[in-house]
Amino acid sequence: MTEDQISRRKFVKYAGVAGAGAAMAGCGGDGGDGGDGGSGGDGGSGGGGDTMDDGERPMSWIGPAWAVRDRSAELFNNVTDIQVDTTNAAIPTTQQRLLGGELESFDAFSVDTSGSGALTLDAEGHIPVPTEDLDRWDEDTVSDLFTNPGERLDFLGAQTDTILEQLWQDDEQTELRFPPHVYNFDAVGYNPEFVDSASLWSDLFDDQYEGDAIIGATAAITIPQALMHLVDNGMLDGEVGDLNNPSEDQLDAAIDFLIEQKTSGQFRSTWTAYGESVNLMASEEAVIGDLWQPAAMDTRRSGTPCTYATMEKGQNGYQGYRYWYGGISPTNPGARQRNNVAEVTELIDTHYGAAFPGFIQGYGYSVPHYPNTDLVRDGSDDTGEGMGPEYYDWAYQGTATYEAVDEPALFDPLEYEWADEEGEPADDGVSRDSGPIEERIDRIGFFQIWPDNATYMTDRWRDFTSA
Amino acid sequence: MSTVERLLPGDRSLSLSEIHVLTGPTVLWFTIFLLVPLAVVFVYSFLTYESFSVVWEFTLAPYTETVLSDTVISTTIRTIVIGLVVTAITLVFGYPIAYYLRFYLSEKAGIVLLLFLVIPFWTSAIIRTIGWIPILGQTGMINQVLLWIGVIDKPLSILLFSPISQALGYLQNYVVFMAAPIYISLSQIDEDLLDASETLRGNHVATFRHVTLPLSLPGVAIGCMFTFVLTIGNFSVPSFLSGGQGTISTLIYDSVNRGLRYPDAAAMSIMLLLIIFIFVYALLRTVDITEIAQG
Repeated sequence: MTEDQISRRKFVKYAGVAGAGAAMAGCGGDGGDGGDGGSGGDGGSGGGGDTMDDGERPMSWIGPAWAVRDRSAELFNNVTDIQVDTTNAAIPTTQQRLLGGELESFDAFSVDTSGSGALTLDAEGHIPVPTEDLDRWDEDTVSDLFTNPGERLDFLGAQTDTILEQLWQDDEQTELRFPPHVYNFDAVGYNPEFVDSASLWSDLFDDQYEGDAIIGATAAITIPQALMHLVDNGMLDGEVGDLNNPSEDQLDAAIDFLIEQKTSGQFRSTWTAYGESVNLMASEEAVIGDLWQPAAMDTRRSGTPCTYATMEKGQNGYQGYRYWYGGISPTNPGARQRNNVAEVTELIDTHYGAAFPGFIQGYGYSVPHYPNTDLVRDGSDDTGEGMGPEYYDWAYQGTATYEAVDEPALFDPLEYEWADEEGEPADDGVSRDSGPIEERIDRIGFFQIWPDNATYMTDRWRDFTSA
Repeated sequence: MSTVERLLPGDRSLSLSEIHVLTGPTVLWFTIFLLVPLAVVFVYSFLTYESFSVVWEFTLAPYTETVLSDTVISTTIRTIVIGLVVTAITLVFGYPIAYYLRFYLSEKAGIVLLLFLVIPFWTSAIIRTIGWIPILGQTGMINQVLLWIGVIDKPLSILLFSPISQALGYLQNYVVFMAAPIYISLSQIDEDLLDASETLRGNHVATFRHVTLPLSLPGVAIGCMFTFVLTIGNFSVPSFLSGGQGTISTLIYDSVNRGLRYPDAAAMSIMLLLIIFIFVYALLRTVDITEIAQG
């Protein structure tokens, strides 16, 4: 392997191993110079005696609105009595602010896995969080999607390495590089009044929806969706492991294909902002698109039916859900300088409590500790009540609601009265779109990251944007 | 006689120190909020980009590899064409509005109605732009009316995400920037000149062609300047009403938004600035806009 062939991430990984070695040899110092592994020198978190009562107040947390919610800050405040100031900013703006000199101004940041690499791998703007400091993180009750993705998602090939890389700071999996708090399996959304069914990314490019489809204009998301379609249909050579980290040739093929689709009128419009996708579907300008699940929910709330697809793997097994997760990290050096590492760790831990899963499922998102049925389904803790049997079974087991629902494609889990007691699913109840979570996990096609060839990708993406 | 002296009323004159005191705040303002930021943008346009960061190594790559790429060149040409077409359309609509306000209404009524054109600006540009979607969309007001009266049997998709929607978006946003300076120019025309034209048996068309239009050209020039500059830098119309077809401003936004590519964004911004400078310079060489200040 030549030096040029060593990718950015591999370099960071190797540097991390070297750092860990130095730390183990007692040369780690504060762990800041050893790449990823260097943080192992002092136990990793860098908290160094930081306790829950000596940090600067209020705490400050920045990230996109879907990840940094006032409700989360309230839950944390209820438990700890600590005030958290939330700042909502889109992922690029969050990156821009933190990398532009505000790493010292915030205690915590949230982004998704397409935005975390720039902050945690490239810039080391995070502080790793030891799982032993997270009281509620229990390997037995956290989904193996996080504790053992290599085995659970072995069908994703080399993509599982990228999941591990985002998740874990060390090979022993004792410290989280980017602790997860929400995640989802994004799919195609469609209006069932106009579309009988959709279950593949290929449906976005189907001639019968010419001029009625919308597609996101986000390179790191849209390109892999096109790649899944192209590789699955034998239109492009590739392995499943390439899908989230494509070569330049694969990027060229996907972007050329998307440009051709765009200029031929396949898409009614592209969308960039979340609200755009909702408007386009709600106004029936488009009938099918690559939606986020909250956008499908908001489309329903505006009165337009919208179904979130149960995705299939395609004819050659290269398609499936677009999996991503959002996380919370203490900022480096902000959280340390403001003595808030322990507080941010507690903020993360709050999300592994009983109350958050029910709240966030209202937007379609899941939580890492859903297997902890004693807590999430039936229990409660100092954060509040769990989801209850009906809501939990609906969200994670794929069972129907206990009550009849007239219009499944207009069903809103935030409006429905969920039962506290065990009951029987109704024959004409509604099941959650996309089905039980284990089946969704089985059908993941792609894990979302910022790819190694990102500079080339964004160069070429201009061609799509301007087409 | 200097320009400053020429513009002073009567025989008023200013000492050098008075000029410095009066222009000082403006110069300071432009230095801090225009020249310094522009200098920063200029320097950034020569820096090296690496993943999510800018390295302090000077390079011409943002110009040679980005600004001079086929995509950016073709997008720039399209952006200029859009700017010129929108300016022309806005002039076609803006001039009659200004003319009507000046010559068919009292001065007070003209000013009040001109201010009405500003009312939409009390809301954000995004809302003014997105507001066209429920009007022009397939389930929008126009299609519903046309369906109801039986003119069409299925919704027209061409109204939205097309040149029509873009033209309307720009026109609504910028017609006031065209009409207002033209109205000011027209208001400063000495009515005796119009009477003289009529006395010399000039009809309305001849009076307009030989008196009104030439005297209103400074206002037209300023209106064109505003409209062209605002159009080629507009972000909301290409983003929300084009269906995804980018202009140079959306490419600049994308460069920052996808990977924080500041040098590329800075280089394209400098290019955009040069285009604007050339347009304004050419316009000022053609029309003396100081006439509008002389009344």
